[in-house]
Amino acid sequence: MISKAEFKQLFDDYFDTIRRFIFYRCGDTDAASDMAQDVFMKVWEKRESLNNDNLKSLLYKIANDKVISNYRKGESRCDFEQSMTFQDNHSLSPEDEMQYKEVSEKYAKVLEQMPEAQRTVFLMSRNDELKYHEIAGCLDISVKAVEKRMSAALQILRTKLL
Amino acid sequence: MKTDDIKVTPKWRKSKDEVWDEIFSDLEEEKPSSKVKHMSFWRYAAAAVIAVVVAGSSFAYLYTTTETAARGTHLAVVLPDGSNVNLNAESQLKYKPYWWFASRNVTLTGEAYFEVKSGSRFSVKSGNNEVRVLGTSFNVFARPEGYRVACLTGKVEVLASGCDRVQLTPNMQAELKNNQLAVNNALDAAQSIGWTQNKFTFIGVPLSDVVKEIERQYDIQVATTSKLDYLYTGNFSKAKEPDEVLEIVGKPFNITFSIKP
Repeated sequence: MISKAEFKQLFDDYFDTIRRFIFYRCGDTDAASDMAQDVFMKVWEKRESLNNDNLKSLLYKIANDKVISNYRKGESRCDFEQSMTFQDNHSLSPEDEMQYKEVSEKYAKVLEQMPEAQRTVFLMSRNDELKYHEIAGCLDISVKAVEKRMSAALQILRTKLL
Repeated sequence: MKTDDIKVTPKWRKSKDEVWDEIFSDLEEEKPSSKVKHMSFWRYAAAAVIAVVVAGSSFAYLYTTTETAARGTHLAVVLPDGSNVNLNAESQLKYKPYWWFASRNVTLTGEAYFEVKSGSRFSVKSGNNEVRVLGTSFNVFARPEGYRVACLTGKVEVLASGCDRVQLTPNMQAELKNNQLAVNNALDAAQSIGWTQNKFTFIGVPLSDVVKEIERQYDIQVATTSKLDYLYTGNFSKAKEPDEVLEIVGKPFNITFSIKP
């Protein structure tokens, strides 16, 4: 049984992570928001039969199911270009800005073309700065598999970006 | 410029806190939605069960079996609990076979001999009159000519028109006369069920009733020119031909009967 306070805590801790995770997989911000809400709603509905341990992997598991059923509906469109940011935007020279635009466009394209499993692992590692074993725990796969997907993702980026 | 600085930062329409405020902040702990769903499922299940039970029991209650012995025939009926009923000619027995476990009620018009298996109350209704027993054998005569109950074994309670009630022990007979139940103590009850063996015994019975009985047993119409205001005592067996029987009955009174074709 999870109380409302505990649920709020869970929401604060994981909503953004889960929402990003879903976004990495489907590449659609609106769909990712909707699905993340559904994930937490489902946890709330089931809270009678839940206790506090292993909620994180449950969240990922529900998120995975949501992504798959959403994928079956085929509604979301993959768009990473909208989401590209550069860290210190103000310190860019006009040239840099041009270059940045070019690179980020390419980067987004490659991400969109990349197989979903590899993209997800790559972004969780690079963007969210998660350790391999953390990613492995979230996705319920082995660290070896994470490494494999990571190197495949890097291989794709290397060949397509450079 | 370092490509490492390029980040994928999804631009959300709503922040995490906005989502919380909009969707999750109103969730009530007291009324857990899953519990509501759970309850409604059980409610549906309960409603379905009740509907089935009501439909089933009203079917059982309303379903009536009718056994009819036509003129000139007898009929043996075995009720669901194994009780035996012998129906005399031109008699009808109604009962509810699927409601039998709840109440052993039958409705009788005509004449029948009951051998009731002991158990819960068994009642025989004929118009306004009723016989209640637990487990006995008895004969009920319920025709327009009269109402008679004769007890052979056990104990029988007779309720007439809802007010009068008498208890009968073996070899007693109750007869409804002028809306009163008259009890006859010195009866050879076996005679009253003679009809089950195709034997007929009449002791001081109006001749018209005897003729009616003969008409019923042979499914015939009897014609006569004489008045029938005699009392008849005697017996006959059904094995004989109807004209033979009519001759036996009519001879002492010098009455001739003829059978209408």
